[in-house]
Amino acid sequence: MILFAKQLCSKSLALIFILISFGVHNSWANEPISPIFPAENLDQDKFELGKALFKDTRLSLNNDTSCHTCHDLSMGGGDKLKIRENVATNSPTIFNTSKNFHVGWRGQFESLGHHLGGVLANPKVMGTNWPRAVTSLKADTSFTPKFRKAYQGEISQETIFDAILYFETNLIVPSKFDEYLLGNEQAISQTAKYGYEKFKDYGCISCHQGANVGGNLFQSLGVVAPYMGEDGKYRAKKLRVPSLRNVALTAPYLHDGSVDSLESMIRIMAQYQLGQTLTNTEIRQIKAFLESLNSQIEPAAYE
Amino acid sequence: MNKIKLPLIFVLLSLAIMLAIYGTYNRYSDLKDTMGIQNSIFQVVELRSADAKWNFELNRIHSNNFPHYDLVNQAAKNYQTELQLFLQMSSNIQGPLQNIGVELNRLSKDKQRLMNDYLSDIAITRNSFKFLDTLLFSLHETYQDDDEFLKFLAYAQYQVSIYVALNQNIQLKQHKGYDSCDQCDMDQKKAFNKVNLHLGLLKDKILLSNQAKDDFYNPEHTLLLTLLLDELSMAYIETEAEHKTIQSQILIITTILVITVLALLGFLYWIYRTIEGHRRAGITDPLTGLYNRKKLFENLQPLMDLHHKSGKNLALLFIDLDGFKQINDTHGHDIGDKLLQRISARFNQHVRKQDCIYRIGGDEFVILIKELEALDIAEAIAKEILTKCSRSFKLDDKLCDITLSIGISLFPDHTQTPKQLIRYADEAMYQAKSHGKNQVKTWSES
Repeated sequence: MILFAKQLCSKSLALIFILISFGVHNSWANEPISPIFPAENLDQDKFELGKALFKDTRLSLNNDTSCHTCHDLSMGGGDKLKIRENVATNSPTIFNTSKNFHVGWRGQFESLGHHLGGVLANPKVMGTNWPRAVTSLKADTSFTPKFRKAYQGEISQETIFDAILYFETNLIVPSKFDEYLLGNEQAISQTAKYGYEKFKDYGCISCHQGANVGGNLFQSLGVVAPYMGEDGKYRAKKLRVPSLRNVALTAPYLHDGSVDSLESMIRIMAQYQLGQTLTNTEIRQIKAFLESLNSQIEPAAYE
Repeated sequence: MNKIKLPLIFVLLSLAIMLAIYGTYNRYSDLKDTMGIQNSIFQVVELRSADAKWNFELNRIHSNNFPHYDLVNQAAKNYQTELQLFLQMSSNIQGPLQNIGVELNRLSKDKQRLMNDYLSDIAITRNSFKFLDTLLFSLHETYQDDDEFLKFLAYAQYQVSIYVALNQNIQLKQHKGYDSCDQCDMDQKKAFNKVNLHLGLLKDKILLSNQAKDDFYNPEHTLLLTLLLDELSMAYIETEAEHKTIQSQILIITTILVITVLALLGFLYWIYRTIEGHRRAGITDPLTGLYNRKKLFENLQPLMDLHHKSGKNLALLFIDLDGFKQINDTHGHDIGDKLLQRISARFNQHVRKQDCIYRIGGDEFVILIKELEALDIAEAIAKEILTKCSRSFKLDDKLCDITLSIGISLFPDHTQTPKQLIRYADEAMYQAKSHGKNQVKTWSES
């Protein structure tokens, strides 16, 4: 019972500390978007191994698909396709995904691991044949030193899964806008700054907020007026509000990939979600802001 | 010590020890684990603080101009993780706890779902307030001179105030206002519809979010968490009490065990001391376990004194085996020794309890028959022994026949001194031998 009392004491102390720390202001504390930082103490061996496995097609049923197929690291983490065959929705970006609280358009995955497991097991996507994948990776001499460094040479379903998950979880690439939030006024253009103000004033920020500028809320398209799509085929459902990081790189838009350009997407969003009609200047400003959210990807690192 | 009682006591003591050991084992194997319960209690404390943090973050949304849903999502996620951890930890604890766990899991999933709805509703609500504020202000600017439209705008402004209050769960009285726009031009009609659309949206979302809020601040949820702690504390107290009982039982069993072992050891020591004492004193014959010549001489004088006082007789039977040397020669010394042991055993069976047997030489035995009323009885006993011992002995598949010669002397009739008593019996025995062996002779002066 003494131990129990001790535990309670330390709990209440911790609570007081939390409450005190809320009073301390950070420079971005009053901004609805908080900056992201690259992963600290990154295990480079594990990360590189995960990246190699991310691109390895031997994990799929027919040796023709890898994670990279849909989440191309050189295309902002998406695939530029409307909807891939066999898959129900447009591929969202893989960058900074671990900052989302719901994974998948319907938010059906609670975590990245949950999503990875689901995708690998789904025969329509990857349909991994684990015994065959493990055997072929064991036979591949280029993987042996990587596994030795990261997992003491153990090549198994668990270590392969863990390496990919580690790569995905730590694939966090900040943008120019994060620099701006951290105090570098010159990091983004004046147009982008105006765009950010419009983004806040018109209320886009109500849903697209937080570290990932979205990804923590559910909303259906058509709050103000029902949205039927450009071709009248769009059916509104309550979906996860997507992250706007890398949005300029991951056209086409919406879960069915039915909108091609960022400009029209901004216009549609303003019209159907906010009941606003934007001028072309405003659209250009907001677009500049969204472009400043692009992860600063070094092409060499993710080729 | 009686021959039968000795092994009986041994068996009883061993049984007691075995029973004590089995009892201890049985009680110990029944012990339940209190560590699991303790850890679960700590986990419930974690869970309650996670729940408080979740509710705190939910409330904090309204204190921020730009609410940041990452924080509340993180708090919800932490709570779910702690709950799963708790369910895992407490899966071994029996009782109503399991049902509470299942119920709590269901309510938490509901709360998560309702929170997601609530968040999407308040995102729209908060946005609509800002939007309407800007819209009404710009319309005011545009239609400053149109009194009729200004009345509508004022009414719309008043409606917004009602919804602001409603958002705080304060219900203001609704008044009849301007809800039609008959004299409006096209632009005004457009503005009129837009304002009404957003007012309607606002009202819906506020009602929905209030509903969701009521649902996810489910008092049952808090109640279950409290109940969980009560149940766990109860389980802990019960198990602890059981442990106390078992501990005291084990203490008693152990005490009995120790006492039994000590008694057993003491008993063994006592037996050892007795045997050792006899051996040291040199009064027993190692081969047959009977008293020896030394003991006879020690005993005889006190016995005589005793019989002198009581006025009763004491008979001394001097027994010698006939032809024992022959048996030794034909069958070997081993058989001879065994024969002596067997004969001793037969003597033991046929004398009375109070009588004593001594082996005083190689094949010479003496039996003292105490508290004798008449000589006849001693002779009868001697004859009885003679008959019993004349039956063959079966030694190592060999049949040995042996006869005895017995001489009897009587105290106080024949003599008063120990030495004389023995000598007279000896003489009588020799008479028996010379008269053809296998018979009893009583000493007589001749």
